Amino acid sequence: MTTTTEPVAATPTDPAPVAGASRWLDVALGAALQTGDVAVGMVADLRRAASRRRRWVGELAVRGAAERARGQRRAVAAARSAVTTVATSGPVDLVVDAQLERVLRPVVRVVLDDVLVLLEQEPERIQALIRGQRESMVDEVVCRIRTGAAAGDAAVDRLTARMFHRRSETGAGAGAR
Amino acid sequence: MATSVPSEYAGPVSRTVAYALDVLTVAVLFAGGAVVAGMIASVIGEWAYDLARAAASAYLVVLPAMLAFYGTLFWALAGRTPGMAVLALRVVATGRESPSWPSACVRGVVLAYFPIGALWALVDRRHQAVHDKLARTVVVRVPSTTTARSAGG
Repeated sequence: MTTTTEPVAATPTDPAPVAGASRWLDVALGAALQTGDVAVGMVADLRRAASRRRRWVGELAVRGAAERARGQRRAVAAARSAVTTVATSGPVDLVVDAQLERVLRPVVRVVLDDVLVLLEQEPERIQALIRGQRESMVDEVVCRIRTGAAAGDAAVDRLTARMFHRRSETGAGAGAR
Repeated sequence: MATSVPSEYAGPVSRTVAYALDVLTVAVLFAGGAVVAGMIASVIGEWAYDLARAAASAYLVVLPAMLAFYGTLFWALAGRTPGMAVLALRVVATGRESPSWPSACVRGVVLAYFPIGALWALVDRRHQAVHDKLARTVVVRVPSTTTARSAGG
């Protein structure tokens, strides 16, 4: 944006100042224009200052975000290190072992007994699960064998077709019957 | 059997794998039977034990006959052997849907006693081996539920 704070220079075609009331009218008009020019210059200065401030704030935000991320990484690493140190320390091992012996093992034993009783009463639940697992494993193996064999067929077909310079008919489905 | 889905001719690799599975099945069954017969014969008497030993020593002669019987039975009844079922293959006659008993018998005997003729499938346009030509059959690959399930899952 271009602002003109310089007063407009008089050109030869401009009329000469006149005396009397018209002179004061011209003075008032010139003062108003001068004020406008000054105001435009001030607004431009303010905009430039605001732009510099925004840029400065943005740079500060970027730096702050980077520092924050770095600090978080450091904190996580420090926390992990501290947890590892504590978890692998001898006293903690002793405490955990004692709690396992005291709480977990009896609970597991009781729950296991319950599960075994439940399975004895309703064997079809686990049977269906095992059967489904076994069938899916067998299906996967069979599918792999078939896929490998089909790939081998295609490779042999390509080889023989190249050797005997003929077009393979393996894919001609309608002719099979 | 009437399938409306299009099939493709089975290649030599699939057929060889299926044949190997069938031979393995027959050999294991025959060996197990020979062992059981030997144990029973040893209890029954000396002459039965000698007979079982003689049968076991004729393993290589009897095995092709067993293979021919096995193949004939399965091709005529189901159109496929267990080995072919694993590979999703099926034997179909060229003029009809399933092979007849004589056709299955010719196929089984020729394949069991002249297995080198299977090499013709390498150069044949429809992958027909010698036993296929004589029995007027082709081996096709059929889409199976297992493959469809695996592809869909």
